[in-house]
Amino acid sequence: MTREDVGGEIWQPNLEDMTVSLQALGRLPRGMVKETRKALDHARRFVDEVVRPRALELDRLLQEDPLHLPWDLVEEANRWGLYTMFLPRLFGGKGYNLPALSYVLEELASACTGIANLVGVHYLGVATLTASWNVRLMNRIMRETVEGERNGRPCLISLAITEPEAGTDVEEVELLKRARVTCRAERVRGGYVVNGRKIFISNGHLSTWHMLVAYEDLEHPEKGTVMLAVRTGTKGFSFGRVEHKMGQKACPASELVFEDCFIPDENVCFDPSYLRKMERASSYLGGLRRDLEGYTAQVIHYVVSTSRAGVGGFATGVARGAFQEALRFALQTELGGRRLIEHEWARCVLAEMYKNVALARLSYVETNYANSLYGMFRILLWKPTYYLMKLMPQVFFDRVLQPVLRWEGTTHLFRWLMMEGQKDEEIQRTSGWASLSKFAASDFGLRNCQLALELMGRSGVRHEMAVEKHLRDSKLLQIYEGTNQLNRLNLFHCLVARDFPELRTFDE
Amino acid sequence: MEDGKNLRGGPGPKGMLKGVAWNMFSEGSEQLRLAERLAKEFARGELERRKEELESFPPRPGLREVLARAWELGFFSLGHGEEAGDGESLAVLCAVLKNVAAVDAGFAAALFTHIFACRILDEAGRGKAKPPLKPREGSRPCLVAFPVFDRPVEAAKGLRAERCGGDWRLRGEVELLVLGALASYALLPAFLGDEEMVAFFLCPVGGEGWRQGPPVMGLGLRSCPAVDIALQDVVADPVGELGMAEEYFGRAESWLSPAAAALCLGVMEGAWEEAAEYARQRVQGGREIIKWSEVRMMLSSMALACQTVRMLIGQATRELGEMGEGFGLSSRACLLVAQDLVREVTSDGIQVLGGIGYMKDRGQEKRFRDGHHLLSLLGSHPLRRLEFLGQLL
Ligand SMILES: Cc1cc2nc3c(=O)[nH]c(=O)nc-3n(C[C@H](O)[C@H](O)[C@H](O)COP(=O)(O)OP(=O)(O)OC[C@H]3O[C@@H](n4cnc5c(N)ncnc54)[C@H](O)[C@@H]3O)c2cc1C
Repeated sequence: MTREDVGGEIWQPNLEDMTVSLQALGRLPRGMVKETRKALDHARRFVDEVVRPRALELDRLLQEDPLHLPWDLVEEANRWGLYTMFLPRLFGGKGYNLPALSYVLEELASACTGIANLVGVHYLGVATLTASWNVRLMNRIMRETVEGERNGRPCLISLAITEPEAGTDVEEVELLKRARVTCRAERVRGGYVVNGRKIFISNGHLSTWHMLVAYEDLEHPEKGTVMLAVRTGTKGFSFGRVEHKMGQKACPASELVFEDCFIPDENVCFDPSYLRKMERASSYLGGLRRDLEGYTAQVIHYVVSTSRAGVGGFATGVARGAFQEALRFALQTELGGRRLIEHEWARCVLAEMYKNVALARLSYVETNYANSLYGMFRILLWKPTYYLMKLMPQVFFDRVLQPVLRWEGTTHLFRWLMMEGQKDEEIQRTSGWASLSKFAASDFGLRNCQLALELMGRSGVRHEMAVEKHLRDSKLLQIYEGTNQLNRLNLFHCLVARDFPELRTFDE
Repeated sequence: MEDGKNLRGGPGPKGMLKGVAWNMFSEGSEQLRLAERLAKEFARGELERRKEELESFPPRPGLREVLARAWELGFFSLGHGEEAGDGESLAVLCAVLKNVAAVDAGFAAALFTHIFACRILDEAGRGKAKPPLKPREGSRPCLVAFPVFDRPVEAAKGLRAERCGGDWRLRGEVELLVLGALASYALLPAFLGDEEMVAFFLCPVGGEGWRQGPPVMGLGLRSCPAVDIALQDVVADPVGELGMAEEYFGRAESWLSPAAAALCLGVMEGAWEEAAEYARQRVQGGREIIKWSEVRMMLSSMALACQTVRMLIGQATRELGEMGEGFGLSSRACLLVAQDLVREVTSDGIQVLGGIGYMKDRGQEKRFRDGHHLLSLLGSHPLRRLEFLGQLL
């Protein structure tokens, strides 16, 4: 077949997708730079003083006793203010810019991805809560985290979406239609009654709040998705087993069990009836006219666009940790009568590893530019809000604004701004880049661990050398937040297939 | 398992295999089938049953019992000794290691370590007399510990042998001495006095001047425990000619690399089988995941890798039997490739299972750790790649 026989036109990538960081020039507040440095500095000190001295010992302890829960580390992270660092000042937090979170996660993961998850997964919960744009609940739950920091009782948030029969399927609305979900939320007077199980929930046992995704209609989950905030201790809610994982042991993966668990209306983040109202309002006011499924998909994309950038941060960290250990080893050891670092091939391996770290980092940075211009971070990084948040005295948010934040109308306004204010191509740009970062960085992460192991030979397999732990930790990054296969499909769906409407991405 | 049948006492490998192509996967070889069956039964009966115990760290006493059973069955006598001079016996060893590794690569690595050490003793015996190996406690397994994750020069870095009167005495340290805590003897490479020459020495484990650390916690291969040791003037017998350590090691390596590759293959096949089985059962997106072509691609890559290694082992064993020109090249290439591929296959093995593959409940996470641990079997992988080129040029 010749090229002519094939026919068709050459596809061109979208210019906006190609130039995200360029578009960000000048549009984002300059204050972010100094603030990011400060956040990194803080993270580095935490790594030096807390993470590095404990990471291997904790990993070893957990190999012997997989049921151990690292409360002491959570309390330490709480003392260091890591659970409120990225909460907006509006809700009592320290208000660091959200793109800096990925850098911080990289820093933590360079020493221990498990401990990085103890912090990062909390922000996955925060992102999920935020994606509902339920300002009243955001204010209540985030302030509880802030209070937890003050009184030394950590208040973490988890996300519970995965079920025994539905993993990949719940990550994407197209697949959700065909999913065998079983976690049912039944509408009753004054709230919902939930029955079912969620599995693999990171930080489950350690969290106070759980952002639970359940379904009104198990036959059509895409039309009846409900997000509920469930507090540990709620009647009918209990913890099941803690998984015995290969790595990232510091961060427990829990089973959550719901048996006739009543969740009152005040803890409903969003439900289909609200989304239907949005649908009607949008059509009436000439908005984007998304349907129920479209809004559900948007919420999922909001969450994964930020959380996958977080995985990009973890993965960059693990790639870097492996590089740092390999470099130290190459400088200190001899092979064939010369220092390993003096072998040309070893330098090339190290250069390859450095490249992997740098590209992994660039991938999450670009994704965060997309999130800052078109996604969840936009509202906080718009210069006027950014500086307002920085300059107003805290008492203004803690006292004066409180009635406004509790007012139902504020949630409607936020939702309108954030859901109607985000165009389809903006969803695709943020989600496509996030998927790219997730699978590229995690592939680099695993690869770097393999290269380090190769370089270090028999020393690399020893637990105390840290590289074998990085390797075990890194593998999980290719699985959670959607497997890398699902993320490849999502990238294609978001950044390529939109130009070919006849293609159905999640089918074949 | 049939009573009284074992690979030593049963019909001798040579007799059974005469005139049969001894490619490990060839049809019609009785001895191979016997070996395969014994290994499978052993793996199912002993290893699978005690999986948890064998995976635990530090090693539990049950490991000794399983070692004793394997000793009884004659698995430790394969690949070395008088009968092991041709490709036929190598094929039998490959079959045993592959089937044992499909269930527990750690145990297969323990077998391999002892066999490799004994093979070095064989090679040395062809030069000067090798010291005799006698069981130290009645009929218990008489295992030889060996630093099987190092080239001799690297392993000998911390160890010196000095001549004192009529004796040789070892002083210094050796890292990651495999089977160190379980063996009767240790085969150790050491530099001679102030010279840059390395020789092998055999010494009893645990005698005067022998200090040994706790079991080393490592990535995988839990049932193949290793320790670091420190020796203070330990009396040891030189093995073969002084300064010939690399030569002996190299010959044993040429001979046994396909067996090490078969060990990798066992892990790969185990990973493939579990992944294929799971993909047939698991439903996502409204169909069994095996029906998604992306999953099929992963499975296909895994199967292709298994097939490649299988063919390489077949080719290498054939060439070794002929002992022709380039002796050892194919066998080394076969191991280098197998060690590369076992990482990919075990990683995909987890990936096909998704989250559950990352958990201890399934076999994939263990295979991933074991597979990556195997990368350094017989020494640093990059170093061996360079040596391979050296051999070619
Ligand atoms: C340690 C750990 C922590 C986790 N933390 C959380 C958490 O905090 N909260 C939470 O909700 N979830 C969490 N998860 C769940 C995680 O997101 C899922 O494991 C992941 O989405 C994959 O789902 P699965 O495990 O069910 O695999 P499956 O969906 O069963 O996938 C199995 C295989 O099939 C492939 N596959 C499936 N569907 C398709 C398709 N349509 N096309 C092509 N290939 C397909 C997958 O790529 C994979 O290779 C966690 C998981 C783990 C292991």
